Amino acid sequence: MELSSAEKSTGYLADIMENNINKVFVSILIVVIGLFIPACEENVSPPASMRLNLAVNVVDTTGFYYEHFGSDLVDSADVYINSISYYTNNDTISDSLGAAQFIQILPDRYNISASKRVKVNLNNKYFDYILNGQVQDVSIFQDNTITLYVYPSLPGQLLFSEIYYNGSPPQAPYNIPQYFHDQFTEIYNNSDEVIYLDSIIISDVDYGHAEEDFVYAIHAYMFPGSGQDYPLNPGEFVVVAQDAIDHTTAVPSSIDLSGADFEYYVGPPDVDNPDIPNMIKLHHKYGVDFLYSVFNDAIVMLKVKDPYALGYSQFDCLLLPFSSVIDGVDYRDNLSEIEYKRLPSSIDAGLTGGFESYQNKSIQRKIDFYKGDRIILMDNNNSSIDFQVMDRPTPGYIIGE
Amino acid sequence: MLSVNAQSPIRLYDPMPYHAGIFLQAVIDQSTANPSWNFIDDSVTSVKYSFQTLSTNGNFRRAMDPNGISDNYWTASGSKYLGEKSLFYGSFSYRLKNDKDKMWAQNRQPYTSLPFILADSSTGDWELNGLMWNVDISRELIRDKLYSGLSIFYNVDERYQDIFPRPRANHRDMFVNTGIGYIKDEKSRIGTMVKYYNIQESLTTSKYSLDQEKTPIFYKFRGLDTPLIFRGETSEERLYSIEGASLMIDGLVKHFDLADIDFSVNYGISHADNVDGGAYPIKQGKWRDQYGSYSLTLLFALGNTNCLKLFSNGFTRNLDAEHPDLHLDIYSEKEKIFNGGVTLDMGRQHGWMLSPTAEFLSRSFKRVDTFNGILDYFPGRLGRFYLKMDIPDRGFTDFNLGVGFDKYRVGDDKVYIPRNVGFFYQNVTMTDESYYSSDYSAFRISEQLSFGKKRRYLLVLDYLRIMPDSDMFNYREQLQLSLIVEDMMRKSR
Repeated sequence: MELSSAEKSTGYLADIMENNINKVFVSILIVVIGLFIPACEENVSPPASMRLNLAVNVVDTTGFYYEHFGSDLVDSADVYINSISYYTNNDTISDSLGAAQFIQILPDRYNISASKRVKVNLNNKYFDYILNGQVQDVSIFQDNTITLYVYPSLPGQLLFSEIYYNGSPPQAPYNIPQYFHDQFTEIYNNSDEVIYLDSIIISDVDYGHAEEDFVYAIHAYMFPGSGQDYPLNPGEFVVVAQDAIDHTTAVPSSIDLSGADFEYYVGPPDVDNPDIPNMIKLHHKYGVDFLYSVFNDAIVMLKVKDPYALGYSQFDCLLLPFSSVIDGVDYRDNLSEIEYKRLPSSIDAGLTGGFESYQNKSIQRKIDFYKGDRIILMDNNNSSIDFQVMDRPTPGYIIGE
Repeated sequence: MLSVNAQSPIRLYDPMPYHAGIFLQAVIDQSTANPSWNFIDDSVTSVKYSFQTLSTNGNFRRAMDPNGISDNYWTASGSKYLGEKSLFYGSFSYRLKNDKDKMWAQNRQPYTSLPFILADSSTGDWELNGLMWNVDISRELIRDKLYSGLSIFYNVDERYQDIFPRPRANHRDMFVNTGIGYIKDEKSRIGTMVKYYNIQESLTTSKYSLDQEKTPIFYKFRGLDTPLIFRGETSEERLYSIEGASLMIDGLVKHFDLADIDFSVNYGISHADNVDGGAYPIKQGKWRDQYGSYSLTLLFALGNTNCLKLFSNGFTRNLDAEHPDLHLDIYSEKEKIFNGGVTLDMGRQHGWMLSPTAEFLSRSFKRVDTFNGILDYFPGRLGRFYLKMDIPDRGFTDFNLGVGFDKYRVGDDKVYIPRNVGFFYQNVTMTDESYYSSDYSAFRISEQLSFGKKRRYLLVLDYLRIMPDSDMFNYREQLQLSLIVEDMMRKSR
């Protein structure tokens, strides 16, 4: 009988398997072993890490803390570390020995600051003191312990509560490409007492002199008054406009500054609202307006007896003493460029901003706490901590976080 | 791991698809084969026109993979004998690719062992237009004994994102293969190929128009967490270049009475550099990659009509990346893939062929970010069954149809993270970990139809659908369609 094709095939297979069973088996075995040996799973353990530990010892060597609390080691202080490259922030509280422990932080350059608010009794009167200390740009690339010295001070009495330097984007109907005339500065009385603005100077600061004793003022304008003409009550604001007009007519997303309290007026062709008192021009190096840079700048507020006593720098900046500065804020579009700061850490240990120009954004000081109905704004002399970025400017009022 | 064509790891991890992101089958075939064999393998000269489209969509993907991909190639190619001893092959392709909803990364292949990525805060569509050329020359040095070959592939393309801040990417990729092949006798041959490749990606975000009313945030990723963040920057530039070489030895042995052994062994190294900026470039990290692979196929003839095929492939690679400032290794990857299986070709005597395949694949993938202290380890195993029915050429029409089913199971995976993780880990790395640790099932179907004598028309269709066992993901599917018109010409030799 003749076999069918399928039967023939089966017969072939049987013959082959019989005759070559060893070769086939060995081949299959090689393939299978080759497959399974590397398939064995690996035992893994927690990885090595470059993360490291940092201890910050908070110490007051001025004798203030020892006098009132019996130790130089400042316990319960808020300690902050800000990574310069990665924008990571960590905070913790110092223990009873003044030590704050940061575990598994990234190796980087850090700004480190500590702050503690204490109430002390002086002559049967209680005062709120702040112990502040900062160090900048500390390279932490291995486990480390650093000592951070803090110094007592009374909280700021007169503060910049908001600085709007950003400018407005181009919008219909005029599509003005770079509209910066809506800049303003807002000042707040953070104290319990009336403060007189008379003769207080607002200035922007030239770059490159943070280590010197003087503010190199590019522009300097002073509040008018003879001593007690412009009082500012506790919890009140004052707004100083570059041009005190309604800017929404030029750029709809801008703001109405026609109700500002003061106005910078350079002289023709600068805009002058006759209903708003003008600041007194002390020094104006260039420009048709007192323009804060929309990219990076530092603004200070200070008071001196004679603003011209120190004269001028080689490049036509008015010299004013840093020691007279009441408050100052350093801002920049790129916050990693800490090396370009314009103010010493004693005035502003941080840097705020971090946004592109002409976006209607603003920097506003954070609310620290409420004293009754009154807002007390945060003042650690560190704008990285004290300020927040607002999507819209808020002239004459504060919006909390 | 996602491939519509169930290809061997050697092909998937070839620098052309892996680093340059080029998935045109014809040029990958050329790139992964010893060009000296073209002389004897290309038995007829032809002119060929083809269109290949690869469409991918579905949310079973890593965080920075596009949500949808449409990758299209129009190719004209031809080969011709130049005299009796040389064969010329050339191809020219135009490519149009669309990536839909690609998150952050500006690099074209952010998941190819690339720990240094330039990104911005936008998620948008990218469009690519490119041109590519392939020229091969193979030559017979000693008649029927010794052959040599040279293959050069060159690609230029431009990608751009259509939304703010409108980054652009220009690519220039070059692959040069040179090989030599020796045929000892009818039963054995051996060849070797050296490959050199140079891949460049230039990323540029020009100063944007202020009427956008938006501010971009640029990220420079350096591992699995804590990128460098740049706010308020109006432009960025990055040049990313990969250079590498590989050596392949391949051969065919027919010395067993009933078995053929087809093998190849491949070893390669790559290194890459990142620099930012124009006139004063700033180093942004570099990495080194070593990879090796083997491919082994044993063919057993079962009588005159049936055939048993055993195959095994293996691939392993090790990568180390160095921090640009600390000059320490901060990131490493290790990956191993081994697969093996058996195919039985039977039924040829009936005028058709049925080929069931059972395959097993084992994979492990480990990445360690020593800067952040993150370790991911994902072992897994895949079982595959594939059934192919082939109706051989009856002079005019060929048709084959295949269906397959995959089941992938993740093994004892491990994730170690530090106490504090940042936004990048939470938004990207964590999603990727979920992807890598998902079991899945996959269904595939492929069809190939060709007809015509002097002019052959070929339609190739491959479809793959992956269904993860995860609440986080739904599916991912790929459809590849190729239309080929080929003019068969008489061998002129």
